[in-house]
Amino acid sequence: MRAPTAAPLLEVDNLRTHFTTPGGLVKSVDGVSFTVGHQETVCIVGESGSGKSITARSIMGLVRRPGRVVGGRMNFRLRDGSTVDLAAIPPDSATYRAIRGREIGMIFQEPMSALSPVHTIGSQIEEGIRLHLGFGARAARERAVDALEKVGFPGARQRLNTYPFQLSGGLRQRVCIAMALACEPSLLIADEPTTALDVTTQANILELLLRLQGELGMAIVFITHDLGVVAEIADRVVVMYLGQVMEAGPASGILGHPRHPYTRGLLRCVADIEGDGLLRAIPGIVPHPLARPPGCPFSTRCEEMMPGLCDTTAPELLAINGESRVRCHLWSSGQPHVTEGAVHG
Amino acid sequence: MSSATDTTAAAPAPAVPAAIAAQESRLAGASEWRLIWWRFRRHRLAFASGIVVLAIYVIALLADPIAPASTEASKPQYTYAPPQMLHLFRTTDDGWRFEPHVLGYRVQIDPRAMRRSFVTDPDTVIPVGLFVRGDRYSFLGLFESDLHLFGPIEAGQPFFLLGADRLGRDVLSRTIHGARVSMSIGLVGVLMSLAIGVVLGGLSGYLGGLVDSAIQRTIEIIRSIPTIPLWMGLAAAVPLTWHPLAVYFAVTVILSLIGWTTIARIVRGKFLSLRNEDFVVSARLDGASQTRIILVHMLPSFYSYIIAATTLAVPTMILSETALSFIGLGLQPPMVSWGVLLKEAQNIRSLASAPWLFAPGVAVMIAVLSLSFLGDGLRDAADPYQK
Amino acid sequence: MAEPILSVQDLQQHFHRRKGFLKRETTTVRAVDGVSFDLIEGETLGLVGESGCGKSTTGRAIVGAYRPTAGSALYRCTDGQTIDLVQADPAARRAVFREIRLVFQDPQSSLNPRMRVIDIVGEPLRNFGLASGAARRERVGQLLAQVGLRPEYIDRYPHAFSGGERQRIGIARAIATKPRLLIADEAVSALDVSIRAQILNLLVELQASLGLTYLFISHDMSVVRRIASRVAVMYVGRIVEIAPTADIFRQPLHPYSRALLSAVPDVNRPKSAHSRRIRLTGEVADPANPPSGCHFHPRCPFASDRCRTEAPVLRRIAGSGEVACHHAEAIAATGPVTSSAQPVISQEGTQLWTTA
Repeated sequence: MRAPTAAPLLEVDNLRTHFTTPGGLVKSVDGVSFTVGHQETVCIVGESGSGKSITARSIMGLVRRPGRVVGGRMNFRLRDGSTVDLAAIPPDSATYRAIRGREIGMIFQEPMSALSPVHTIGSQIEEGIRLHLGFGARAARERAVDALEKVGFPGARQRLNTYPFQLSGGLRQRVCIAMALACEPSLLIADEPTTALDVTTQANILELLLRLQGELGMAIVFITHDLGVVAEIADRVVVMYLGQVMEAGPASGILGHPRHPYTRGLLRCVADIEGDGLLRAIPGIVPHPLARPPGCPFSTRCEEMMPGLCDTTAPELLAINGESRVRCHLWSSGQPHVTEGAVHG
Repeated sequence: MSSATDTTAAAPAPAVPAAIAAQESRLAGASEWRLIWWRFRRHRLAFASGIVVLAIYVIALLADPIAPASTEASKPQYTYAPPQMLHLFRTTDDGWRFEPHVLGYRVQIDPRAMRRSFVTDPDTVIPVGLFVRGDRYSFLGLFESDLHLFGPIEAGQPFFLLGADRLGRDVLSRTIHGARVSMSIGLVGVLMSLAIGVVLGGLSGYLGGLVDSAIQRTIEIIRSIPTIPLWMGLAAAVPLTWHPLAVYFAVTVILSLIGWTTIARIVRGKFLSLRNEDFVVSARLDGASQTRIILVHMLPSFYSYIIAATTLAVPTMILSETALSFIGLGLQPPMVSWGVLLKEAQNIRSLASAPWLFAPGVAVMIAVLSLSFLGDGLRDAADPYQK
Repeated sequence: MAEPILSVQDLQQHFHRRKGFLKRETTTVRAVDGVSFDLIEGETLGLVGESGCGKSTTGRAIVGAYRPTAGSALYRCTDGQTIDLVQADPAARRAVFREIRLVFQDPQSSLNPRMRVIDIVGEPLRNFGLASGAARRERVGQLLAQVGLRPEYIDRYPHAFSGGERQRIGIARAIATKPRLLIADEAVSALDVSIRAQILNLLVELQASLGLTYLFISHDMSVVRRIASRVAVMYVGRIVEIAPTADIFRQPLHPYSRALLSAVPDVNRPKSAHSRRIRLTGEVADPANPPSGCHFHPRCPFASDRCRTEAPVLRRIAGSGEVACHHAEAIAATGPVTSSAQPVISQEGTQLWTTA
């Protein structure tokens, strides 16, 4: 589903979101760049603490204090063809509120926290429709029923007056998707929407998102830590670690020929699942955000760490044959220093 | 086993800057109370209120030496004398020097209204000092003394920083003494409510079933009774012949009989929500006895909440005491509390001509507000593990 | 085949839910409704199903968190004696539950944030009278090393650890009493995939070094495949299929097992191939009000009239494990699940949670 028009829908350039904590400055997102084309699905992958969710929240203008977008641009193409820099709009301004929900929808990991427990699902979906599209009560109700039917919510009309707690996790997530898509945004940001769900429900939700993407023609930015999920839906993939992009490129390339040792490690965690013996897990844990290793952020856990280079000099994010980019000394000269294909070996 | 630790152990941590490592290990080994304290300290308003509350209690405890006069020392010639201004410097012919003093009064008689009024007399200088001799008092029944923190250097001189009342008694001294009863009635009353509330709320939450229903219905009934008539009824039952101290305790008991319901509800709710928490189930699977589960695993999870709730209940107690005494059903003179003092200010004349008699009202406001802010801050800091 | 360490027979765990204004009416939730399986010493049995199917309840009933309503669970002690956990008196149960331990799903909520690691891991040591004082401290240090944590962290509080490290603490607590049987209740579901692999490795290593038997509960077939030698699939309180891992992954016989298997995301499967996935419509049935006959029939593409009236029992199928389905042979004939011959199921057979 490559975009028919050349200009991207969203262009994130050198985004930096920092948090001022008592212990020091936490650079949760530190110079992240990627683009999202029309009707395209971009997956942002990484472990907890990689900054992937903060990236999503930065786009939505939902970074909570003490965090703040401190630099970079986020050029977003509006429906009318004009382009705005989301980084330049105050997050609580009316301009942002008009974009949020109308032009960009969002769904979260925990549907219960995105839904109000004291309002019916119908009234919650209608609220956005009336606010953004200026619909009357009756028209908004019809639109809400329509949205719920689109997400495969059984008995939508009869169940507009149910409360979120009466629904199962999968149905709640469907309500959230209906809410996010009721105004037919051109971009949907999905922050680990299936992590808290059963695999069967996850499969249904992923399929639903793909179907709706085809019907509504929207782009999706999908945040996840599971490359299996990435394989299901992604056109392009951005792999993040400690607030930086480690590798980015088309999904087929990232999953088929991963270049960065971190991507390979993540892939092994899911690809090795059929083998025998021990899994080849990535050793160690993500370093403390206030104790970023010098040099390459991944050097402390990397199997191919080159002492004297990786632990002293930070690698640049380099373009490798057209669309792919990788941040690793192994690829500094544009050529691999070792043979690839360690994934399936 | 060595191979296991090799492949699965967390990799050696990267070279963490020493300062961060220190900070991390400080956090890592920090107990709940320390985390609460760190969070509370960041809450500036609550922290400042905490200091004010502490100061009020210190003043209340040391009321005798701090107040310049005793509660009953009256100077009839200074009835309704207005507040004096405290001057720090004295101007004399050869420049000015540091010498704290107040000015004396001169009585003027308005011939038409036939009313006495006080004007300050710039010629009568009453020097003021620290640690002066004044009225004798018995400090908490421990020892006798006549030393006061501050007051007129020459005993017996008029010294009314907040004015005088209808018998010429110092309002400031009486307000300071009143803090003792008012603040302690809040504390004692709340401690009594706490005892009843924790026991009944705990039983209610832990046993469930009939006991729970009975206790909950009782709470609902108590809370549905209009408080003022209830107080009036109970207070009216206190015989007039009782010693003021006995009345004081009776009033405390009356207040805590109502106050325990809130705490009981909090305790019960916490018990119910904790009973199915994974870590409580885990304690059960770890073979812990019932008593150990309640005391070691469950109770620590909510005593921080109880402390916050308790702090928030103290102002209610203080206001209740004030209200009760104000309508004349609580404490009676010669007992001095803020409510008793306010009752004496209860006429139109004081409002018009002696507004300083409302100083105890200001004291009530300061105490209640700072206790409320303190309680809010404690409540916010109470659960350091909540995100 | 070795002797079973635990033999569960027709285990039932019912809960009574009170409702109505005066709480007079009660509904019975049959969370576990006649579950039978054997756990062979040293093996790992995977127990899979969607949330609400009763798999966690089964685990918790075995580990002594509840007292089962009916059935039996025969535990074979080291001396060869067997004890029925359902009937046994409290003292005997207590002794056995030192040897059957639980690893919780959520490392966040299962560790008391107000206790230090020494007290969390040392709690069972203390309560079962296994070690105290300096000996306890030393043993906890050993246990931490055993699960791959630095023993110096013994005095830290849980909030100082990451999710994966907390799960290691939970595992250390579980193995503290030198158990023989470990119930892992979704022990890796709450973790990042990278950390998940570390914890799975740890469990495999501990099994080898300590001679443990695992009941591994999960909703994710891919995780179970990695660790289990046999798999039991559960649906609304009953086991619908139980078979060796290789067999069930090669040819699942129950339609529900097939759906679970095809739901697993697969990095090796290109995006275009996903239309072949079996869609499971609707939700898990409410165990308080399960469908008649086979509980799965409202969601099953193969459902016939017989399925609506008659509950199938587990029966052995030649060349595979046991399955509770009237149409197992016919389904087996359709071939492996990954084949393109698999019919696409899109029937809107929705059974929703009835709201209490």
